[in-house]
Amino acid sequence: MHSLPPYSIFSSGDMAITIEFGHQINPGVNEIINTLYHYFTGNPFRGCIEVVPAYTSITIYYDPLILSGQVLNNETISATAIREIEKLIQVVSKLQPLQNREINVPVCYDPTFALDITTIADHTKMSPAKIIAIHCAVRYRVYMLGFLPGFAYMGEVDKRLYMPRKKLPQKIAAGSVGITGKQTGIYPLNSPGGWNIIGRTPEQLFETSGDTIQTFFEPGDIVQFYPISINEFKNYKGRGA
Amino acid sequence: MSLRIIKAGVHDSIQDQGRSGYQHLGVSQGGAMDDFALKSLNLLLGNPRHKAVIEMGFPAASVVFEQQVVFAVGGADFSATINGQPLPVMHPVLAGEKSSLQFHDYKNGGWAYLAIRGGLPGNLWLNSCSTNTRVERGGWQGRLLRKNDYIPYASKELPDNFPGRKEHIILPWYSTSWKDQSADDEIYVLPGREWEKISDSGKKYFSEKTFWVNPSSDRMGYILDGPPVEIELQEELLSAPVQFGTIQLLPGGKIIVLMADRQSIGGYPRIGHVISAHLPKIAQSKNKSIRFTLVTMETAEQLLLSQESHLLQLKNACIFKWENIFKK
Repeated sequence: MHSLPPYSIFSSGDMAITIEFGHQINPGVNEIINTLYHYFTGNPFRGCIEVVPAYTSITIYYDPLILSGQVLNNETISATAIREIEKLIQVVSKLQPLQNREINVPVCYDPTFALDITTIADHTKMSPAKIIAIHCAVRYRVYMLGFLPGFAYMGEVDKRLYMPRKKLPQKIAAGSVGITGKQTGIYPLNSPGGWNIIGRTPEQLFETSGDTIQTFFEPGDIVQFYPISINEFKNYKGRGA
Repeated sequence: MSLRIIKAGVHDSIQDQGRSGYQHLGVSQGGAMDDFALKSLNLLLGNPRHKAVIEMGFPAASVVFEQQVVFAVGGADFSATINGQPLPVMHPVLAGEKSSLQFHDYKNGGWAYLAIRGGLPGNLWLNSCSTNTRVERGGWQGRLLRKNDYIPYASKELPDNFPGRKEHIILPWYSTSWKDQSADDEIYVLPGREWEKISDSGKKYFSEKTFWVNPSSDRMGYILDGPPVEIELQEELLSAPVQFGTIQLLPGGKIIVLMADRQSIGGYPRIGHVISAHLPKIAQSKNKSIRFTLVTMETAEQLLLSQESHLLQLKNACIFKWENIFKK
């Protein structure tokens, strides 16, 4: 059972409504976001297009032309959407919490892949071995997916590893594991990026063909990294996304 | 049936209405920058409104239609010619095999569209033909069009007395543009979540000054040139979903308007949202100055409904026109 913390609900333009539960990263709040996400997508109101969960907020996209049929009195379509969504929010307190998956993810921290390990060592004044041990010690929560297909925003990183974002984005290889501030994440594709790179995973972060896409991570997953050698990286067979 | 790219433009891609339902996995929505041009051109040709089209920046591609085709161009005006003769925007054209379409000079707008009666099948990915160049999926092999690409188009029944090789007929009817009360450079916006965190002078400045759309702007976002807008924020924002038209304030006070290929989430202050009915207008405001005017939700929704009724009228009129052509 979830008790519903205070929230704000507001329009994000004329085709989206956002529900926001404060500004602090918090697993409990994110659990509610995740529950809302599953409930909203399972019980969409007429005109609902899609639902996008984030750290402490969730945005519901709607088609105003479809929803215009539901408008009462002189209210705006946006107000109608808010009314429909508030009805759904109230149900959340009656829902069971979701089961979170626990996933162990191999990461090769070899300097071949850990492009910024020296920068991190200089900044944190710790040895690479210590940095790797700290990165592997935490059980991270996947708070949301975004940026690129399958890119999971995970937290919270141990304070001793807090790194600022790079001033200029650099070319980053698919599978690279990065850290920035409280967050850690893995680049699913070759891409420009501003996070400091600490290692690389051999896992495939998304698979797609035609009309399907399957991501390796889902919001709510509990993730722990474990170190592997370059040889283990090369011979890794994967468990499939 | 196919068309050949004789000369590639700077940014030619296949687009439709974009893909929805996958932003929660980090997949961008994509889709035509000027959705109204996409819909108008398709309806003008008697297509369902979201059939895939070719979207082009300037300089645009030069094209040869290998077989007979019924098409129209619209959106931006890049001084198109068909077989060397001037081709006005938003007119359907019947063109014989080996007809050549070229775009010569920049007149106005940011994105021109080539739509074909029957549509372009393209590569469907996650229920859309919109090209996603980062994931390299959708559209045409997930990439921009190149010289000597042969892009297939659907065949649809053709009227009798069709023009011969390298000949064409420009039909006399066309789609009128949709207009509202706003001035040419005026973009209507709704306040965003962080609007109230802007200083009073910043708000005044945002609503009164003229901004220039930086030429480096692309399908992800339009960067606006102008002195910085001040904002006071106590806490750092957490990344949250962002929309087509979300106006963000970058560190340092620069403004960026997020466009079709934006990421699904963003972490900068959201000072406003361009109303949906004005997204086509701002998309076509490349190389132009713009001003922002705050409006109410009522206005935003009324204009969207008015745009929709314009499209419905166009649809009905065109169905009638095409029926007449085939009756002859």
